[in-house]
Amino acid sequence: MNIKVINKFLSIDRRIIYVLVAVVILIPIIKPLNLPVQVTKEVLGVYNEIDKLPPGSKILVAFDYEPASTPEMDPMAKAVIRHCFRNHLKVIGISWLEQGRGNAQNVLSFITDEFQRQGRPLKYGEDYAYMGFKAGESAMIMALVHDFKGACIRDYLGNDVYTMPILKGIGSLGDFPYLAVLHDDSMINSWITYGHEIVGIKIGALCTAIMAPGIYANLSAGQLTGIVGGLKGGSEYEKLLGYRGLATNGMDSQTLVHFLIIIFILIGNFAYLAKERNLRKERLR
Amino acid sequence: MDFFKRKFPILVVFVVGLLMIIAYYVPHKPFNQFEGGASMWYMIIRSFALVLAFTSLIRSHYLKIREGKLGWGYSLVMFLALIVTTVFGVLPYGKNNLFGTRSGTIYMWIFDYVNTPAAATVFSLLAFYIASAAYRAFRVRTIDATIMLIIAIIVMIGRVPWGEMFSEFMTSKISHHLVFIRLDRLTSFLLNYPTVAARRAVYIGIALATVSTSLRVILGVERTYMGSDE
Amino acid sequence: MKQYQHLYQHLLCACVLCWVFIMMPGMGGCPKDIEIIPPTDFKTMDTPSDAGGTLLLTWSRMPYDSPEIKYIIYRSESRDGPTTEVERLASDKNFASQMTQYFGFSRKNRNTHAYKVQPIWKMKTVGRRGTDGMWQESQERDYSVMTYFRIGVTDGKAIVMSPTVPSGVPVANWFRQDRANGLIILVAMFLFLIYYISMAQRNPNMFLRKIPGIDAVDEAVGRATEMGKPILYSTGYYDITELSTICSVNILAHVAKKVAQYDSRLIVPSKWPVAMTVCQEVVREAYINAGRPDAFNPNDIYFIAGEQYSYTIGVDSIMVRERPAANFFLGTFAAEALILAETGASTGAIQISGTDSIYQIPFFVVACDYCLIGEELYAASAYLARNPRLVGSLKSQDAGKLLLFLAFIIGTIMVTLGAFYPESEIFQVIRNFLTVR
Repeated sequence: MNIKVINKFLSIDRRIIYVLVAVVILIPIIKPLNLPVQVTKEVLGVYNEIDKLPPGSKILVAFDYEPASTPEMDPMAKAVIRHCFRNHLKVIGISWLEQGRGNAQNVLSFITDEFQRQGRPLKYGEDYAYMGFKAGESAMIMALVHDFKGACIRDYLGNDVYTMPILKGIGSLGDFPYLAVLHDDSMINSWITYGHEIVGIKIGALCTAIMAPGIYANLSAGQLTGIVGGLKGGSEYEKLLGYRGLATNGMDSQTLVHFLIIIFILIGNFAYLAKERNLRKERLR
Repeated sequence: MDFFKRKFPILVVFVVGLLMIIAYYVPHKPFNQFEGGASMWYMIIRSFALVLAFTSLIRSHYLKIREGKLGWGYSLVMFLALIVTTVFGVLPYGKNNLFGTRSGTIYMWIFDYVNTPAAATVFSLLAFYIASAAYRAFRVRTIDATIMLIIAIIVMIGRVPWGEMFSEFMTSKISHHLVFIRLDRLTSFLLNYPTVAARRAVYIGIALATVSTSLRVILGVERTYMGSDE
Repeated sequence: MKQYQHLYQHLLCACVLCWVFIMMPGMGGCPKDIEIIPPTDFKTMDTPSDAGGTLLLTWSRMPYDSPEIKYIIYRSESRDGPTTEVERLASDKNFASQMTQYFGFSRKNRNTHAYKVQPIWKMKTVGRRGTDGMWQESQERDYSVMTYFRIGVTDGKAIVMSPTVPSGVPVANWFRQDRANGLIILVAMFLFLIYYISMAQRNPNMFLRKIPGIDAVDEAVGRATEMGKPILYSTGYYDITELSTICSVNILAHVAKKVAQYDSRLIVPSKWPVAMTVCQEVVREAYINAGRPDAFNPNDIYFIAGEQYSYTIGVDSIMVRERPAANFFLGTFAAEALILAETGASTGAIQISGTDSIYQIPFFVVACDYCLIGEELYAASAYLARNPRLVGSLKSQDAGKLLLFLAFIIGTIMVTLGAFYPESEIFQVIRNFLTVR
């Protein structure tokens, strides 16, 4: 192969790569591919645990992700809240990340509006509640373990938690049958350390794709019941609930981008090997 | 003066470090309240330090505007954003829904329609950057690099619907014996076993290094963070 | 035909009634042959290794234990006073053998029920800081109240109460026995530290393996000086409370000293105010120690933003505008790692990174010239200083690792042998000792 061509392939301008990535992401948005999704056992671990809870059970959902992760996390957050309300579970939200507050409000109001339109209005304080942002990080979780209401005191709207019907019978974190943690950083470790290890609460991790490989160790140690990782995990959860949402539609773009990156890698390596071969030939001469 | 600059901070670090270690092993009062108390102290200190940060931010952007440095227009935008967000966020919530941080206020509008899309946009740069970084870095220079390349390709294909479809095609149409190299199962295997083993090994190293470094800091062996390299 | 229809209906009713009388006792009823007697050996004890908020109740396994039988726990303020039902427990669950951290691995634990219960508490008024940092008067629990417990057993039809009424007051303990294993490791690390520091002081030329990233610091600073461009240093995502940031600041001191000696420029954009203040002091001291106090510019060490992506874009804009010749990304990083590294790579800078964040190591390895992985970041300051005390501490770290390997091997053998010999307690005891809580 001509050395000039090889060098061109070895140093493709990164802007060309960016443009191609953008085009490849846009194509399925304009013309969806409707690719099928297979459900993995990691996602089933979270789904089954929530599904088997009897109606009326209270589930704690931690909204611990930043606005930047909203496109990746919101679809799975909505899916899990939708699942809870479909199964007549009561949802109590909490955040120990300050920016999680906005996401929690958006997701809860989106889903409650949806159920309202479907003719099943949900009442704040009875069917769901949001405790707001609680400062203190690990210390806050410790406080929840010992005295949930004492640690919260007031919810996001300023209501007294001691008089809220939804929190009746909740004394500590261990009184919840399940905790779903929506996170994009390592705060899951604090929930596991202070939640699961002390009071034995079952935890499901719903996280960004970058975080997922790091918490497989916790899954294999039995500290988590399952992992819903990234857009792929969100799409699997949507499939289990029986609809195609943003996560499933996003998988089309993700598929194409993955293959594009593989093509780039292969082009780069072919060019590299061709250059090495040419250099070896010249040395032999 | 030298005592307060050099020796007193080391003494404080030693005493507080020792108390926190004791608090971890002694559940009796008052030791069980140390961790929560220490967090509170830290939040108070951080709040005061925020004043310093605020001053530094204002000063650096003001100097940029005054000296007309490259990008001084963005510093003006920074000032505008700072004033608007502070005014609408700090003032108490009222009937007119303008001030405060509840849903429907201007502060939340800024959060929903400015902060969130901007942060998501920056985060989405990762998709482009990983493409260019992968193209540049995944070369078969050594055996380690080749193994990394092969595993990366397996995981990239195995995690997407086409990979699952391809695996399904291989096992159902070609041969059932190919089930052990189904890409989705290989991906799951790689994530559950080698990755976990490698990460656990790195975690153990980090944990021990943390213990060792913490002991160094508590015992005053490590003092560089104070500005002294003795 | 009609007369047979009546006969058929009577026969059908008789069959149904027979079926009901035969099947009914088996439908959710108790085992027919075992009499329900009051639970025996009902006692209370203080929960060990806690802050004094719970008690443990124990009673013997009974012959009628089955999923249909339930134990009911009651508590009251006085021996003969009114009781409150606390919990209904399935009789085929809640054994002491499931609470090994309290009861150990004795075989007799399988024949003992155990339940952790909250005693009665009174409210007392205390003034304290709430979780929002504000001073407030609040109610606190006072556990120094004697609580009396009763136990009953029910098959769904009647409740049979035990005559025993034990009582107890929870006590705060002075030591967490379940964390004794961690304390032993800590003491061992401390002893290793003392030993290896004294060894390093006697033999200052102790071997340390090469860490290419740290060896490249001089090269990076020299390159920047030759090109007349600044050096960018980022201490990471977290504040000074994180050990990785402290280690990064330690390395910053060395880098700053080199920069001062070479008369180059150092830019340190910061995400946290406290870290910014510490960085300013460290760099100022480094310049003073290098004999160049006049060259120190505090405006080069400044706060950018507290939010992750605002900080990232701020640093990216510095890299694109100032075009530093060398970038240092040392500390804990989150998703911004690749954005920073790739932007730096696009400007042609030499990049040295180091992080203990497992998730970002792959991105730094791919995008940077040198990468310190995990503990190498913590070892860097000792490596750079070559101070005997610091080098000795690195050796103690390795000794601690050997100790952990030993614990892994012993633990694995114990778990394996425990599976073959489930009746043997010694394997379970050692395994339990090696379990972290």
